[in-house]
Amino acid sequence: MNKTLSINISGCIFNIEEDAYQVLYRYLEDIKSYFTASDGREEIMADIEARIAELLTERNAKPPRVVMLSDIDAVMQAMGRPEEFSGNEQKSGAKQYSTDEADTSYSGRKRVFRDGDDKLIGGVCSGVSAYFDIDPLWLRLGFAATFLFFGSGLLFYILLWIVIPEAKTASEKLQMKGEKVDINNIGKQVNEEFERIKNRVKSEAKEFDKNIKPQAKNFVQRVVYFLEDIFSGLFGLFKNFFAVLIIFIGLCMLLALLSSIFGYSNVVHFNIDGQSLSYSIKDLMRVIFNNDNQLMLTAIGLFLLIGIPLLMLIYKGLRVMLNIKHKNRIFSTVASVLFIIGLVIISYVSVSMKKEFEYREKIAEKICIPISGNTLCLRSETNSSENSEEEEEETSLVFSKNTFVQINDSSILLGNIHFDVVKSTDDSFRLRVTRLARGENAKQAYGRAKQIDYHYTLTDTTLVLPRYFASGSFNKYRGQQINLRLYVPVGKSIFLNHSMEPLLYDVKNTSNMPDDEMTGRLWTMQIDGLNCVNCPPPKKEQSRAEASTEEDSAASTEEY
Amino acid sequence: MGNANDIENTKAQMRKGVLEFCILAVLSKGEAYPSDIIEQLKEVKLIVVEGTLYPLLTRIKNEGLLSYRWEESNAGPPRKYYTLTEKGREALAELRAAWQELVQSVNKTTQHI
Repeated sequence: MNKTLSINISGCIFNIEEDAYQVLYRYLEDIKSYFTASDGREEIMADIEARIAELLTERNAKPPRVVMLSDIDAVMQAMGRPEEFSGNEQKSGAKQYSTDEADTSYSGRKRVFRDGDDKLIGGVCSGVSAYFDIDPLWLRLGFAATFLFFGSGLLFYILLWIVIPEAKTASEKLQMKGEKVDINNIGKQVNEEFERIKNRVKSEAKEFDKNIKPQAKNFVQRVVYFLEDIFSGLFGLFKNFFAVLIIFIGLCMLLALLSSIFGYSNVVHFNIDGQSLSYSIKDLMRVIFNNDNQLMLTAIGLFLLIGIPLLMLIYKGLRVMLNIKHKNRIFSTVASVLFIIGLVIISYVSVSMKKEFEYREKIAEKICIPISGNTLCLRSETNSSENSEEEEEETSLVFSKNTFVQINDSSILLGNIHFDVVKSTDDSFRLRVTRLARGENAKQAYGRAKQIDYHYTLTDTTLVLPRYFASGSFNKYRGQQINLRLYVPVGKSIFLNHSMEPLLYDVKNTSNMPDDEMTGRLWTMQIDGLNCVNCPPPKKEQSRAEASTEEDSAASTEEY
Repeated sequence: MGNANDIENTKAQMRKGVLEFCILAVLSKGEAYPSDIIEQLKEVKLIVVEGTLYPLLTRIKNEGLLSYRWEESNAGPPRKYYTLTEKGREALAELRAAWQELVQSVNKTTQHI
């Protein structure tokens, strides 16, 4: 028993058995798809259908008037397979063929898989090299080399391992080794993509003309599909470009992060008196954190907090670029958890460090500066060695007046010294030195302040203030600071050497001159404050001022 | 050395080359519908499968060498009767000349066999 259907071919009605109908339908679809792009497809189809109807009519002249599978077989035998049409019909066939090829190569495009049959670790290198059609040896050597750079290559390898699925089925293995993907082919693919869009537009437009009248309801839908097609095509073209860009940026940032946190690359540079000092983030963190555990914890926390989003970025980029469809839920879950752990670690460290800076204590002493003349010369020195005043200006100070300079195991040198000038109540120069430090409690803060080592020297009429102070036997930064206040009696003068510039901290004066312009000038204390004796015109007066101070000092030595 | 497939292909190419010429020749005897043409060409084994004819007819017609009219059939679907156009006749004459030339050349080249 067999079900029959009633069909209309070219205006003729046939009763056809269901299985025969299926075969006929597929045959017609085959022919139809064969002529998609060729001109006159509709006409050719109509002609062929008419001929089929004719052949079937001949075969069904006598009862039973039912088309059976044998009839369809005979018709197909007579008409031939669509491939045979093209064997004899070169022109439209060839044209047709190229678009067909574009379609199949697009859908059966090569994909990246890990090669489980040829692996050293995870089969990543062999899989990727199969994709780009290169010798896996080079890739392996490349990865081995990057393992040495703070293990960033290892991280990338693991990421690829997670992202790229292993080729398990035969078809996946074939796809893995399929047509090679090189620049030429990528270019070809781009062209094919364009061609595809173009053809789609053409045939779509044709369909459009044909269907616009009877199927007005479908009109909007058609426009939507049509636009979707074009946009998805264009998107495909640019998608890969952006993916590569994202991966590249992500990798660079990841490498920078890893090298600055775990490596020893120097990120902070000082140039002091022609002597160059560089420190890595690790060095700087060592100055702040109490112990190596805290340091390590912070490094890990920072890595998780910044590195995980970067890894996710690279992961997304790889998925897009390598056209990977399957989702790895475990990976994103683990990444989220690690990110939160990083957040918790950093929060914990921040809170515990904040405690370390809770209390502030200061120790102040006011000393008389005994000089015989009326002018006190002020200058700053970095070390005991001769300092060069010109270079002091060029010192690159990252944290401005809060700079760590020399770090060794026992002590750190700090540069946050604030110097200002006020009016003295009596007639002698005085210097008040205030040492400040922070700690978990007042006692701790006081102890740290006390350890600060700061010695000025007075030679003749020149007061030499060191540029940096040592933190003493306590070698961590806990807000240590030196405040210097010079008391100048009314009527007496001070000369600020250029080397004083980094120390000056909002020095009040009658002409409201900013700190960086005050150096190299002679200042006299008057009732209303510091007064610039020889400011306008600055250049000329300055040299005279220097001459006069020399005279002064000469005079004072004579007096001695 | 060429395998059977290659030779089959070459033969098909040869047939294909003259097919258009032969279709025009068949139609020069008067109007005909595809089944007539198929019958005549099949008799002389110029075409193997009928499907070959339809794309070719459509193309020649679109080039303006043929025109057609519809005719109802008492059994089966309406038929397309093709005739040569003026342009078609010119093309046929040209192809005939080219064919004769080709036959002579081929004969000359292959006469020693």
